[in-house]
Amino acid sequence: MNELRMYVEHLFEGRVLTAEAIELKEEIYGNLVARYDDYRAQGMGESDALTKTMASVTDINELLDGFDERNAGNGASEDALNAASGTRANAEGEAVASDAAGGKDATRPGAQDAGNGAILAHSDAPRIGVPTPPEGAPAPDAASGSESAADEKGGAGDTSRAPENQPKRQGLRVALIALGAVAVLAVAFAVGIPLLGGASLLAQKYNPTGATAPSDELSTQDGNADDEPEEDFAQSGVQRSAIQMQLEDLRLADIQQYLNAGVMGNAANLAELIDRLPGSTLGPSVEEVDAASRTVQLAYRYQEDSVDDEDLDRALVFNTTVLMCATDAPDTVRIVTCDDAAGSGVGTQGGNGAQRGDRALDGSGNPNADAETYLFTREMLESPNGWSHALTPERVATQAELDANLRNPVLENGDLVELIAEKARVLQ
Amino acid sequence: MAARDAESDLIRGNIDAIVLRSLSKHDSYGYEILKDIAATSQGEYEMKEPSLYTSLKRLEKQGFIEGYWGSESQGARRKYYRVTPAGAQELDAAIGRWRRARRVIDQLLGQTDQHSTSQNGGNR
Repeated sequence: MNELRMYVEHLFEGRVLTAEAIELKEEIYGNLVARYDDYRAQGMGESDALTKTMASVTDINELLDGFDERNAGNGASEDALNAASGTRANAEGEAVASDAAGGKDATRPGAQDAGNGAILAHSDAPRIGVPTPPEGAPAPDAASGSESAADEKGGAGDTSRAPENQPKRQGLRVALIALGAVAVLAVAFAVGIPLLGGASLLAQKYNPTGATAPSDELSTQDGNADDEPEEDFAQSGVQRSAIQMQLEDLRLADIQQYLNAGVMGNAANLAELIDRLPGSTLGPSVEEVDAASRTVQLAYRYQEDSVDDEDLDRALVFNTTVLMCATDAPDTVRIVTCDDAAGSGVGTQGGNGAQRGDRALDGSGNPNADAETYLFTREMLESPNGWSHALTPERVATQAELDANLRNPVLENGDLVELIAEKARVLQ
Repeated sequence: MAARDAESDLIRGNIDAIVLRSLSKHDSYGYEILKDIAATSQGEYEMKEPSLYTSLKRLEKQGFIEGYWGSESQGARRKYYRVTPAGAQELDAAIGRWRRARRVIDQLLGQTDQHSTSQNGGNR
């Protein structure tokens, strides 16, 4: 149901993608599809069913803006919502009224605050999505069953339904960081303000407050880095790799126009965008854009000893996050990386990336391995069980912590990037 | 039309209880809940989707229901909800509140409802 997917995306256009908004988006989508299927099953024609389905939800602004207000009262403010779903004119009227509260159009930075507030506001909320298996509902075998399997590397889409109650702190941080990145991107380019240094998506890699950054990170190209405290390392001006520089120096303003210009339907723009993202020095290419499956396939070529695997993972995770934040974004990003030094070309569908899933990131990987396929899906990025699976509101304890997470780069922590990349890596 | 809207307003004050009641039958997801409500009311009341979402979020925050994702392997995933023990208590309480309010309103509007009164007296 591509039309419904696009319709839902359209409903949420310009919204800050808080965890709550993302969940609501998926929930609405699921229900719209159910409604559509039901109409069809009753014999309604495709286009009628589609029109009628879309008419059932025409505006989510009231819903999102009103979440907090509505906590207090019961039912009193339902009128606005029904108006929104009913007559458009009424919906507009209500929207004007509520803009004062939401401030989403007037003060854009405020929009981000509102978004943050939305997350924070839930810190006392009952935990949702705790995967106790349901009774009598067609639900999660996976949740009660093979937890470990779900958490294994490998499968992309399906494993994203890993149980949430698994105390996987790393997943949690990945979630926060990845989602933070999305939120920052969404806000920033909807708003048209470039990210300033402090709020950069990109790493302040050796930020002294970034206590979780592994100390051995990035040390592979510099033998003595292991022995030094991170701060010293940061200040010593040790040479950064090309990818590191790109990751750290890129500003949203540099790519904003390309994000806005659309990805799926604009091949030239996509190529331009890729050329401005980390890893561009590796000669990336757009292999395929499939509108039907909303898939973009990219390829990166490199010489094994010229690129640090962790850097590469970081770039891929970062770039995927960026692409999925663009206008007309893909739902799937497939990336084939190819080590040219191993003598094999990229450009096939990545099918010969077999058995590379266990590549060791310390550089001691299988020497025969030459190509790898990564499959990043939007579900991984957005679903409560994907990268963001642990983005439960209560996790965000303080505004400071939230700010920190928003500022944190996706790529600050090599372990986390590895975790994401590991999830995306296709085992064949 | 206006009369129908006024009726909807009356019903709307009980929307959370209605949703809880529907979920108390079995775990369910948004569209299925709407269908259940329409069917149970024999078409007399049709809840709008936005109202439902608002109610679900509110109930969730109050700890009366819990959401979880279904495991549809194909197509769109659905978010299911289940009633928590606190939610079950709340449903009982809400039903009690409604019965008392209905009795009072019946009395105030001059329609003594013997059935309702005696039934209430006989409860438990």
